[in-house]
Amino acid sequence: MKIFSRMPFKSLATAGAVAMLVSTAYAATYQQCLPSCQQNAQAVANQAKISYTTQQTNYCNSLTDPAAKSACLAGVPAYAEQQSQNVYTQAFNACMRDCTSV
Amino acid sequence: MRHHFFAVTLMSCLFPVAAWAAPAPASCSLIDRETLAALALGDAVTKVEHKTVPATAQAPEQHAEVCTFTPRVGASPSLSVMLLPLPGKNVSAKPVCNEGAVKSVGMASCFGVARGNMVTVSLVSPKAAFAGLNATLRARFARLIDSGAAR
Repeated sequence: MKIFSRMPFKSLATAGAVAMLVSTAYAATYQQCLPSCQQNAQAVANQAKISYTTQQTNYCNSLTDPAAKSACLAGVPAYAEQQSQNVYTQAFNACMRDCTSV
Repeated sequence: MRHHFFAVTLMSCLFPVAAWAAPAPASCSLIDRETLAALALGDAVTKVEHKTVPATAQAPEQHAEVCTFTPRVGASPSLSVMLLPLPGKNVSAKPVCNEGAVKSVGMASCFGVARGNMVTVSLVSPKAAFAGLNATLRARFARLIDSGAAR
C-alpha cells in the first residue's frame, strides 16, 4: 500500500500500538459487561414471556369456537417462548451497546 | 458435447428463476413490502421456523410457522409473524393489539384470525423508537388481516 509506504515507521508503529490498546481495552470492557448484560436480558425476557402469555391467552379465550380456542391456547407456550427469545436479543444488544460505549 | 454445454447453461439460468418464482412462506408473505419499509425493515432478512405444538387433552398436535424479519445490519427492530392453523370452521375474531415495555425494550403484539389461521404479529424494538413503529403496526394490522383473509 502506497499510503503505508509513505508513513514513517515510527508513526506506523504508534498507530499499531494505539489500535492494539484500544482493542484490548474494548475486549476487557466486553468481558466485564457480558455477565451483567446476560443477566439483565434474561430478566427482561422472563418478564416479557409472562406478558406475551397473558396477552395471547386473553385473545384465545375471546374465540367462541371451542376447538379453535383449545388449539389457540395450546400454541401459547410456543409463541411466548419464541417472542421472549426475540426480546432477549434486543435487550442484550442494547445493554452491551450502552455498557461498552461508556 | 455442445448440447451438454447448452443444457448446463440453460439449467444454470433457470434455477435462479425457479428460486425467485417459488412462493414465499405464508407467514412471511402476509407482511407486504410497504409495511416492512414503514417499520424500518425495508432491507430485512427473513428467518422461517416451523414449530411443533404438542397435543393437549383438548387439542391435537399442531404445526406453527414463524417468520422473523430483522434488519440486515443490527438487530432492531424485529418483527415476527406466527401462523397457527385453527380447527374450527368459520372462526372469526376482532383483531386486537397490545403494547408494553420492559426496561429499555418496547413490545407490541397484534392478534387476529385470517383464513382459519391464528395470526400473531409481534414487534420488538428499543423504547426510543417504539412509539412510531407501534403506531404503524397498529394502523396496518387490520388491513393485513383483511388482505390475508381475502387471499
